[in-house]
Amino acid sequence: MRNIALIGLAILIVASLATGILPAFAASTDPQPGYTYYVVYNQTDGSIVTAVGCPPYPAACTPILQPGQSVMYITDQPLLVKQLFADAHNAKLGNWHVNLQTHQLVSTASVNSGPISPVSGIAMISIALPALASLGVAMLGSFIWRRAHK
Amino acid sequence: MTIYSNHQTWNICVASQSTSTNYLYSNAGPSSTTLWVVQVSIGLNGGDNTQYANWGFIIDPNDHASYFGAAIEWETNGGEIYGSTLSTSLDTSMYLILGINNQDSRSQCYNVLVTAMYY
Repeated sequence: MRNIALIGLAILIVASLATGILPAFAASTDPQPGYTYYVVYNQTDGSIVTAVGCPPYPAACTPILQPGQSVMYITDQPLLVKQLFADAHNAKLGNWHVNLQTHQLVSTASVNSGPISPVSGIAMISIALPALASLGVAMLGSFIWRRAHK
Repeated sequence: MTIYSNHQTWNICVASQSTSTNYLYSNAGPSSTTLWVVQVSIGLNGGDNTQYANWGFIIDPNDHASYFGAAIEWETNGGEIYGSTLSTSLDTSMYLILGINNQDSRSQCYNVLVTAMYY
């Protein structure tokens, strides 16, 4: 009985880590509520100059453009924002550019060289990890319950 | 005293060999004579942290107050914060501009924190 209690406690700790702390780390580049996100890019080749997350009012979310630069607001694409800033935080902003034909922000690291799939990279981690952890907790709990009631 | 903004935070990532220039505040506050006090700070927020960067916070119009700084081998991610308090009297509304120049061969992200108040 004591072993079951210890195992149960261990499961609770693992579950807390998997569903609480780990996603919090993974979500550090999550778009923030009320923020405005935009990129400034070069009109000649679509290369990104800067990516900005700007807080709510009264902040002004306005870049000062140099000749040959344009701005693209991406607030309405939260998955793209998350992946862009995740790359930027790993010194990989250069992996991104604006496709001048389609006017879409794309990652050159993407296999399809198109808009990033919603289920990839960090999004996959943040979705799959808690799901797998929850599944594991449920299976272990079921196993312990069956043993305890044999 | 009126708190115009309280600890607002920007996340600004700048490509290698590039400059990011943005209005942090635009047409802010009263258009009559006003004393502004603006606290600004900048720190690293991921990217290549072993590099050189320089920046300038400017209260416009006409560069009434400014804070220019630079960091070399800015290695500790988020560990070192640089800042200043700008104060100036304006007879128009306030514009706060930030320019960040990343001279490194890799991109870099910065946290920018601003609190603004006027009297």
